[in-house]
Amino acid sequence: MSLVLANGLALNVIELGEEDASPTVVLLHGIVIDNLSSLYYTLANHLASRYRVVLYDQRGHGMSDRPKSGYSVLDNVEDLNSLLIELRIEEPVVLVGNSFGGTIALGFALRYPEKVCGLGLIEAHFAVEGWGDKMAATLRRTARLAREGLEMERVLRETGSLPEGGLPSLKKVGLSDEEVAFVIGWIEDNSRRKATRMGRTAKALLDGTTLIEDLQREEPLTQDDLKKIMCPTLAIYGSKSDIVDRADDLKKAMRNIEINVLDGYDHSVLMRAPELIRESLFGWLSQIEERIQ
Amino acid sequence: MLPLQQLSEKEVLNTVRELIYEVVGEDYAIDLEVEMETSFQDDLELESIEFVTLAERLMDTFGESVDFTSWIANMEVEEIIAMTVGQLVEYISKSLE
Repeated sequence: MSLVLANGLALNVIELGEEDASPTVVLLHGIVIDNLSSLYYTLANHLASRYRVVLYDQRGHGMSDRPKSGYSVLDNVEDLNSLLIELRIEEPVVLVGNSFGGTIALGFALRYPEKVCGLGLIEAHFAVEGWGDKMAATLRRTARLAREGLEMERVLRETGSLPEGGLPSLKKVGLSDEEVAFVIGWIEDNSRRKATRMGRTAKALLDGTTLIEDLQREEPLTQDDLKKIMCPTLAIYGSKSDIVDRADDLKKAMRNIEINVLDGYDHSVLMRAPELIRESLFGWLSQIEERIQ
Repeated sequence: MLPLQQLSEKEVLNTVRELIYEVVGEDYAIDLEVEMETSFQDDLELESIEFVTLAERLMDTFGESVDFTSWIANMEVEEIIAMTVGQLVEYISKSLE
């Protein structure tokens, strides 16, 4: 684990596996309540038995710098490009992205097609019509939940208990009963320290940076854009995911794509069924290895 | 420090304990008891990014004598989360033998 200066930011980077193993696989995590640890637990160490693996905390996340602005997909794409240059990785890489990490992977493949030899997309988001507004609404809700969660934690710490049904202030910020129950459950399920730290990180990112506004302005990716991506692509979605229909969009546009819909899983399929994701990835990666040789 | 191969289990525990204190920061570490039965999740309340930082510090400290990558790769996510300090110390000690 080391801090690497890329695109003007200190990014927290982990490199695993043998340096001369080919191809290099770069892992990209999801947004806000995520960092490189989810990939470290589920994929990185496994893939390192065969490949050189690079994973990092994206700007604003984990232990990387959190600038006030610059959270568009393109900003993240330039961070990755700069990181690859700093790490002196000159051969084309395989990008594996989960959720928003998939958005960055697709953005990178469009901007730097010569630098990518494979795209592994897990529950990949990409901008469609109305995506920016929807994403912004979800993240604003997450910010409200984080603020209220932290406030509840403070009251709990200072008074030793919470009023039935949460704090009166919750109703004022317009949270539903269901959302209040979610926050209480979140504090109860996670250890207090962990929940507090997660809440603080989410709040700092959502209230203290332009991330929401930047994503809201994101232009949709068209079928014509997707058609330009020629490298071998594997797209995995859960059958119960709210974005499983993206699999059809990708399939319609991309020629060199394999789709794997895992029955019964939702958007969190990477954490729920990492063994199925690994099986799918390893099989697909071995085909890429054959092409390279 | 002694050559790694000569470290007793108790000395490995001391090394692990010091690295945990480094990772969580002094303010929090001051009240923290770290023994073999201590759990990273329930007792230490470590965030997952802190656990990963600890694993990386251990790799820097023990180098190639301890293969953390394969060890973690053989565990399910739930097992990593439920790990105790003792499990980690025992694995390191066994690898150093």
